[in-house]
Amino acid sequence: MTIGAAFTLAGAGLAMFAGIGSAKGVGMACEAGTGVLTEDPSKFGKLLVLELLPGTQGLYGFIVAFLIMIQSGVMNGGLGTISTETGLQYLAASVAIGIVGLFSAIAQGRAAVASIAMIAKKPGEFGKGLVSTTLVEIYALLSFLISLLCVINI
Amino acid sequence: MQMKQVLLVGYRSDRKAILERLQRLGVMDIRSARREDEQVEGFLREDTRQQAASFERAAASLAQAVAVLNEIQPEKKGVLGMLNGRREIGMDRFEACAAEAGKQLEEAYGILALHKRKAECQGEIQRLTALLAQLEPWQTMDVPFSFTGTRRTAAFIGSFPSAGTEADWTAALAEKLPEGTPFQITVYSSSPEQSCVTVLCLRQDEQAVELALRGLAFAKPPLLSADLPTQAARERTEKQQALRDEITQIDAQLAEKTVLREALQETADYYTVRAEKYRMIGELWQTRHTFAAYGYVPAQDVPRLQRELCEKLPVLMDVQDADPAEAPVKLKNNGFTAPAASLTRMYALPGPDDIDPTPVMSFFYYLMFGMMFSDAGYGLLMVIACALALKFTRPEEGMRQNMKLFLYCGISTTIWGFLFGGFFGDAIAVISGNFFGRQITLQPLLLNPMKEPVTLLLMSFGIGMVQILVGLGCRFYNTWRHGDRWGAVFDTGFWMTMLIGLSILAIGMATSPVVLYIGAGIAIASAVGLVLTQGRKNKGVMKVVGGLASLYDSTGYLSDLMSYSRLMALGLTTGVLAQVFNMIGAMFGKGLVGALIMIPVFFIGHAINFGLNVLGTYVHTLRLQYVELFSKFYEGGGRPFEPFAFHSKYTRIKEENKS
Repeated sequence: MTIGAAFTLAGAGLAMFAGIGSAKGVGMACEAGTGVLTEDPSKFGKLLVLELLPGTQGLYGFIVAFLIMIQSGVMNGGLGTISTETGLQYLAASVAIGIVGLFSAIAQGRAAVASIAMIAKKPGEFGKGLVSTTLVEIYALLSFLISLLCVINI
Repeated sequence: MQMKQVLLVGYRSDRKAILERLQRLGVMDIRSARREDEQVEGFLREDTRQQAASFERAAASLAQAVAVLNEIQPEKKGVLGMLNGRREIGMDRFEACAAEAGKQLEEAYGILALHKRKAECQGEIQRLTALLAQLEPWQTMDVPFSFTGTRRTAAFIGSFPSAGTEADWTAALAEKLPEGTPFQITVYSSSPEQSCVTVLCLRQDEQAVELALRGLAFAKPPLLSADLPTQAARERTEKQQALRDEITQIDAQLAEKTVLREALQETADYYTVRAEKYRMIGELWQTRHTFAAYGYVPAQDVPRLQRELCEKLPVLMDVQDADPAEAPVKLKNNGFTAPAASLTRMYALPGPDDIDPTPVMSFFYYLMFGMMFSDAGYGLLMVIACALALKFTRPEEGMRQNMKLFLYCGISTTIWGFLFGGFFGDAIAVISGNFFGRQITLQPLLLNPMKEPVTLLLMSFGIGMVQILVGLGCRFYNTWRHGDRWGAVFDTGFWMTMLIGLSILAIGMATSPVVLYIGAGIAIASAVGLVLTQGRKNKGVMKVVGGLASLYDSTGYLSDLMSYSRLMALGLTTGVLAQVFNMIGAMFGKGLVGALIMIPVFFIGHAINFGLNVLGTYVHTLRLQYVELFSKFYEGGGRPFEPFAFHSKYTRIKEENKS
C-alpha cells in the first residue's frame, strides 16, 4: 500500500468524524426525549423527529467517506495506485464535513433537547421547535457541499 | 373561509331542542363566553357548572370502567384496524343511550368496585407474602410467639441482629449477666440478618436477663399470636389462597362484563356530549323567557343552518358579515391542497391580514418532497401503501388527510425517481449484473445525481429561486390588496426584479454575454430603485443611508438560496445509502447462496434507508416551507374555528341522512 492510500483512508475516516457529533447529538436528544416519554408516551412520534435531526451530519460524513472510497478505487482494488498528492487531497477534502459535522451535530443536539423540553410543556408548538432545530443544519449542509464538490473534482 | 356572524334568539322553553340541533349540526362556533366580563342589562346567566361537572364525572367513570375492561381483555384490532378511527354509530343508537344511561352508569360503578376490590386483594396478598417471609425462620419453633414462660421460668422470644450459633450467643449473654446466672438459649435459624432464638431463665432473673438482652439489640418477633409459627404460617397461606381465588373470580366476572364495553363507550360519549351542552347553556345570555346565542358560522353553512334549524324550530336568526379581525379561521381547501392544510395549521392559522398559504405551499411541498426522496421504488411503496390504506380502512379525517399527503408525495417521489434513475438505488443494475450476467441500468430521464451533482445543485437553486419569487409575489399581492400599492412596488416589487435580474445574469454567465448584460441591467436598475425608495420614511441624508442599508438584505436572500442545497444533499443521501445496501447485498456473490443472503440484506437495508430518509425529507421539506417561503409573506396568528358539536371519544355519530 502506498502512502497516498493511507492518506485516502485517513480522509474517509476524518469524514466519519461527523458521526461522533451525530452520535452525541442524537444521544442527548434521546435522553431528554425518553424522560418526556415516561410522562406521556403518546408524544413518541413528535419526539422521534427531533431526536433524529442531529443524525444527518453522520450521514453526510458517510456519503463523503463512501464517495472517497469509490472514487479512489478502494472498493475495486485500486488501493496501490494512489499517489501521495491525491491521498493528501482526499484527506484535505474531508476536513470540512469531518470537523463542521462533528461540532454542528452537537450544537443541533442541544437545540433538539431544548425543543423537546418545550414540546413536553406545549405540544402545540411542535412546528416552531422543529424549525428552530433545523436552523443549525444549514452549516453542516454547506460543509457537506464543500467536501462533496472537492472530492468529486479530485 | 368566509365567516358570518350569527345571532340566534329563541324562547327559553325551546332552548333544549334548539341547542341539541345546533350541536348535532356542528357548524356554529358559539362565542358568547368570550364576552364573559361584559354585563348586559336585563340578561342573566344560568349557572350550569354543577350539572356539567356531574356529567363529566359520569363520563370519566365510564371511561375508567372501559379502561378496566381493556386491561382484562384488550380490544381486538388488526394491523389495518389500527388505522381505523372511532367506531361509527347511527344517530338512533346514540339517542337510545339516553334511556339506558343510568343503567350503564350503575354497571360502570359495579366494574369499578370490582376493580377496587381486586386491588385491595392484591395489596393484602403482598402484605401476607411479606409476613410469611418473616415467619419462615421461625418454622422450627415449637412454642407460640405469645409464650412468656411458666410459673418458675421466664421465656424471651425474639432475634439478634446478626448470625451466630447457640454457643456464640450463650457466651455473649453470659458476659452481660452476673456470674452464674442460669439460662438456656435455643437457636431456630441463623442468617447474616438475624438469629431467631428463645432465651429461658428463672423467673427471679427475668429483669436482669431482659436488660442484658436489650444490650445485645434483641428484637421482638414479627407477630404475637397464640398459635404455633407453623400454624400461623399455614393460616396465612390459606388466606392468600382464598384471596387469589377471589381475584380469579373477579377477573371472571370482569371478563363477563366485556360484552358491555361498547355500550359503556357509547354511554360515556353520551355524557360527554351532554356535559358540553350544559356548559354551553351556562354561557348563553338569557332573560326570563328568551335566550340568545352569538357566534360564527362559515358562510357556506348558513343556508343549511337556516333550513335545519330555523324552519323546524321557532328561532330568530340574524346573519351579518363577520369582522375578519375577530372571526375564527377555518381553512378552505380542495382535494389537492387539503392534505397540506395540517402543515399550515402546525405553523399557525392565517391571521386577519393573511392570505391562506396552503395552495402555494402544498404544490411546493409535494414537489420538493419528491425531489429530496427521489427514488421510484420508495415512491411506489408509499403510493401503494397509502392507496391501500385509504381504500380499506375508515380512518379519522386527520389521519385520512395524512395518508393523502403521503400518497401525493409518493407520486412526486416516483416521478423524480425516474427522472434521476433511482429505483431502490441502483438495484436493477446490481441484481441484473450479479444474477443474470447482463447489467441493465435504469437510465435516468433527466440526469444522474451521482455523476452530475453540480447540475443538480444548480437545479436546486433554480427551484429555490422560483419559490422565493413566488413567496415575494404573495407578499406583493397581499400588500397591494390592503391598499399599500407603492409599498408593494417599492418593498417587494424591486426585490423581485432584482432577483429576476440576478437570475438572468447567472444564466447569461453560462450562455451569452447579451443575456448577462440584460440581467445585470435589470439588477442594477432594481438596486437603484431600492436605494432611492427604501429610506423614504427617514429624513434628510438618512434617506440615502437607509436605502443603501437595505441592500444588505440581499445576504438574507443569498442564505435562503443556499438553504435549497438540501434538495440536492438529501436526494444524494437517499441514493448513496441505497447503493451501499445494494453493494453489501451483492458482495456474497452469485448463485443461490448469494441470492439467499442478498434478499434479507436488501429488505433490512432498504427499510432502514426508507425510514431514515422519509423522516429527514418530511422535516427538511417542511423547513423550506416554514422558513424560506412563509417568512416572505405569512404572519399567522388566527384563532381556530371550534364549533359547538359532538366531541365524542369512542364513537363517531353518523347522521342517517344529510339532507
